[in-house]
Amino acid sequence: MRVTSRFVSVFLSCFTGLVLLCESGQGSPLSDPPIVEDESFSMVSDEQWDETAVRKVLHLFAYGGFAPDEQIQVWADMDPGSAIVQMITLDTNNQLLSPADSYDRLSRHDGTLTGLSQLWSSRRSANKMPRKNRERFEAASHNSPARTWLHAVGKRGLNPVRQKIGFMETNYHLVANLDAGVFNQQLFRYYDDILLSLADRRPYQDMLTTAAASAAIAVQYNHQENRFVDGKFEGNEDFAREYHQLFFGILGEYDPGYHEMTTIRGTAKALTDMNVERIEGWRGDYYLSPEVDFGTEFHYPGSLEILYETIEGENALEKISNLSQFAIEHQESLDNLPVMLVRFLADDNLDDDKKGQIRAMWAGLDEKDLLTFIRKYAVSTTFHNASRVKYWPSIERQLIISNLLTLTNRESYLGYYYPEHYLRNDGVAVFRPTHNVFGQQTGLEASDEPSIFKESYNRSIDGFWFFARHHEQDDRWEKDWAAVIPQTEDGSFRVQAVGEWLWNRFAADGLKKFGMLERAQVYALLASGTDFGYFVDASNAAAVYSAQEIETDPLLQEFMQDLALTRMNLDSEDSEKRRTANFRVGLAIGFIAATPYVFAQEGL
Amino acid sequence: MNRREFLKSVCMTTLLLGSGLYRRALPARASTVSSRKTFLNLVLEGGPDMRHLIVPPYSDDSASYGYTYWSHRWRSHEIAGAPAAWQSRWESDYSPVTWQGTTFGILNKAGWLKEAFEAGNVAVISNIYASKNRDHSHSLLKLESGDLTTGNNDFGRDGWGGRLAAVLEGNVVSMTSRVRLFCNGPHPDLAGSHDNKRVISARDTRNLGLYYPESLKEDPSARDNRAVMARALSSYYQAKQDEISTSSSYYKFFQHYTAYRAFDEVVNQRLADYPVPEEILAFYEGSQRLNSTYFGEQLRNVFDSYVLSDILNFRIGSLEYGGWDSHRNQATMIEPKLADIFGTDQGLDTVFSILQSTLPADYNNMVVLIAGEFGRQLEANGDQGTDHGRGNQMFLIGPQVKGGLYGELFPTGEREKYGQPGADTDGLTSVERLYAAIAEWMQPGSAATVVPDYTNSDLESGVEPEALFSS
Repeated sequence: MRVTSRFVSVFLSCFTGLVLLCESGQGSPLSDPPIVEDESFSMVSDEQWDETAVRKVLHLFAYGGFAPDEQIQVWADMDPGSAIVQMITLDTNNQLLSPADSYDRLSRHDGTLTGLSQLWSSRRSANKMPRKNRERFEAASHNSPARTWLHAVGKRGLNPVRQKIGFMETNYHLVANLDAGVFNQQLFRYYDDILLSLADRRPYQDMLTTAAASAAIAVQYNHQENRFVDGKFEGNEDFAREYHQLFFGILGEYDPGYHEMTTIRGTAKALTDMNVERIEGWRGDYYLSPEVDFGTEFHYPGSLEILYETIEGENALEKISNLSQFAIEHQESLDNLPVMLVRFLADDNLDDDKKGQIRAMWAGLDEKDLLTFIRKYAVSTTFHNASRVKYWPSIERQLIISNLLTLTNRESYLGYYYPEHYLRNDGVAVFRPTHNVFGQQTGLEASDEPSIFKESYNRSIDGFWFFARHHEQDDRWEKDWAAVIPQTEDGSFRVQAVGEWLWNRFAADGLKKFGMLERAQVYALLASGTDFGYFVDASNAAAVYSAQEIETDPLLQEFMQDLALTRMNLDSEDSEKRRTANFRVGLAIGFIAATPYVFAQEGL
Repeated sequence: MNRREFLKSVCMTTLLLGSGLYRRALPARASTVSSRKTFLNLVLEGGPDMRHLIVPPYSDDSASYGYTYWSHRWRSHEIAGAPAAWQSRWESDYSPVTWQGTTFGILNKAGWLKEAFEAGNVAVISNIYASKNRDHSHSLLKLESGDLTTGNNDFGRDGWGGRLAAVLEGNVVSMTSRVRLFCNGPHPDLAGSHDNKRVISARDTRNLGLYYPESLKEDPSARDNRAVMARALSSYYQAKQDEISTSSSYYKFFQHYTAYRAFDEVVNQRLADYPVPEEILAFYEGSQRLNSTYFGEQLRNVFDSYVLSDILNFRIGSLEYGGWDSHRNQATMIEPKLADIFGTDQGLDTVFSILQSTLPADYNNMVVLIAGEFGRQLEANGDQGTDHGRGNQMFLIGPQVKGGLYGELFPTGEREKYGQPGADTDGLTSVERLYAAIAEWMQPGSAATVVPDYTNSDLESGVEPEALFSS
């Protein structure tokens, strides 16, 4: 009997007694019951759950998200357990987090990566991608998965949490690398299958089976060539090891000799006769199928001992599916896997206490549902914790900045804030992880590498236009910060209020780090388009003022007060004044984007 | 004329590279630092199969180690499973070397390695290990931290290079695209964390500074937008760095700023007098590109770091070459990499030659360690590759290295293990022993600080790490 991966999802659903649900409609996570505190975790208090806490969650799990300020305040006013089930979902759309944009109505379309690639490369009238770029989204086009993903993250109407979790799984945890032999078509399928499983709330181990049995992984590790012939295994044991190590966090410390000689070698035999067809293209090119044909002729016959369990199955899919049910409950997996996930996602400063809390949260799940785990973690005191530090990897930092700079989907399609070029400067690329199957650049690596800081610093100077672009005649486009920045009570835009709003938008720390030195530069840029030194004394513009000087020197204090109260012409009828005001907002953002406080997020 | 001949001719006639230009400028720099020892650490990430680089001689005696090796390894050499093919491979692609009665072959594509070994400048340390769990990520943590008790999540800890730099009161120059854990210095307050005040990132030594607009150079009060942004950020960082706590999560970014500002002007001035040697430039831009142009760029950073050694307080360099996880098509996969590093007129050969001729005092005091996180299994797998093992060989190379074989190259009893599932080279010597020896050479008395537990770590009988250096 031969089985293809087209049937994997059905198989897994039957296996677990679940029924496949259509992604839209049934079982909408927005109708999920609130997260409530239980013995497995401690919930953040209502007092600590405020606008800043909400923004921290959005930065970390949604690349900033697209929720308007009013919605953020609504969530801050709710109890955290109720708010989080609205904020963190895995469906293709989440109208509260990412409201549809009438420009493209993306939420009406298939929001899978495959569906978006098809839409953005099509001639359909609904496709708002500029014509000159459409070809680059075709499935076979070089780098189209990355391009599609980067655009998906930045579009209103699509769910950025879904892309965040998809990125974590495919670029850190269960890596499929386009530089390691994986074809675009396989990558698209891999990404979508993982998210389909997670969004449908299937047990986490079933998602891991889907990934482990995928064509992308079979090609990447080349166990597509593994055979059991004449009573002998022929192939490599590469993925047999990484299935346990990378996917489940089982390193073999429970019994190194047994793990090496029995578990890994048994798993290698389980991964036999997985065939991936070569498909010829009409241009003389080819690609490898996104589906696996699970054969029995060259598959290990009979049962195998793995992890001290007897693993049955007629083919590789059945054996791996059975094995995953045991692996997820293995003590090493229970200890390591949740810690790995949090390390990938949210905390570069894990101590033993926090690791213990994370393990308890995972262990407390009767069924290992990733969405519930993440929601619990996101409202836990483990997340909202003074010792938590998340250094942003380049991809996350650049995407947060890009998303928060982008005010409409039209701006996104125009590509003004598209980050791929800047990611390349930082030496990173989506779906081409820095450490191959061991994952992307980590936040710690990004923060320790001075040249990453340098690229950002230099861009804010030499590339200030990236932030400060205010109109484009050819595109008939004009930046409109007034559409989102709140006015003060008198209906005007004042520098202090604008500056604080910008800081909270990009740094999301409740103004904790928006001290006198930061305010001096941001206020001066907003009010005058110059730096603070120039504003104070143009003939001695390079002078350096300490925070203490600014706070105590009467003349400097006066300057600061004047700057803070300066009115900005963001909504002026005079286009020149309006554009100048928008330009200055861009300069201020450029400054904020080069401060240390956009390179990391602290828990409190 | 090949590069070697070219280089020799240049040295003889003192015409171009390495002569007039360099000799004019070097004494002023070299006079202050010429006696300082330097150490380069090249990490081969992925688990390199050194049993492919150094092999036993083929023999038709089925009881010999050589026959056993070839009869179990022909797949990973991507040759036929017949003795004639094994013999042909041995005779065509390996050159025999004999050292104190032990004969082995070195891959011809690593011609410079053989030459350097025969010159007495290469120590081959066999049966050495950093980790025994065959997990890439965890094993790399152990390799680079120099602490075999390192946990699998200890990504934020210090590295043995950083600890050595602290003892030396010198700097680690990171020549890679990211600062490796090896470089991380010990944190004065936070256990399990690190402080990189002694790390200089030089992923591109020719572009080491922060952007500074031309208009500001002419007029500090210039009003153009670039000048405004440069002044805003510069004055902000200058003022803020005096306020920020060293225990702040954000402190490291101020360190980055300070380091760049300290170096950019003076580095650019120095390097303006030192064009990249043509042979090195050709590795990443020219017609003689290495298989990894990234490695070529690192070699430029090596050369520049020596040129800048007084400015950078350069004592330790960090390099990397990845992609050694050869589960399939091993010969095709790793031989080009071995050639990049060890080939005649290739990476190390060229850099050593240029430094020897242009910066002889630095050359005489440099040593390079080449190591991966673990070895591979004895037997080839069914995919023309090899799977993860434990023990391996590491290479210590330099003019002051006392060359030779340290540890039994083809251990007694290993031959019987071929054919056993999962069998690999036993790890008999902990890498801590090697690190301690290097630390002692760099600064006597430093080993106990850099590798605290080395005296309790494994050491193969008969191996004397203190004998690795001739002076």
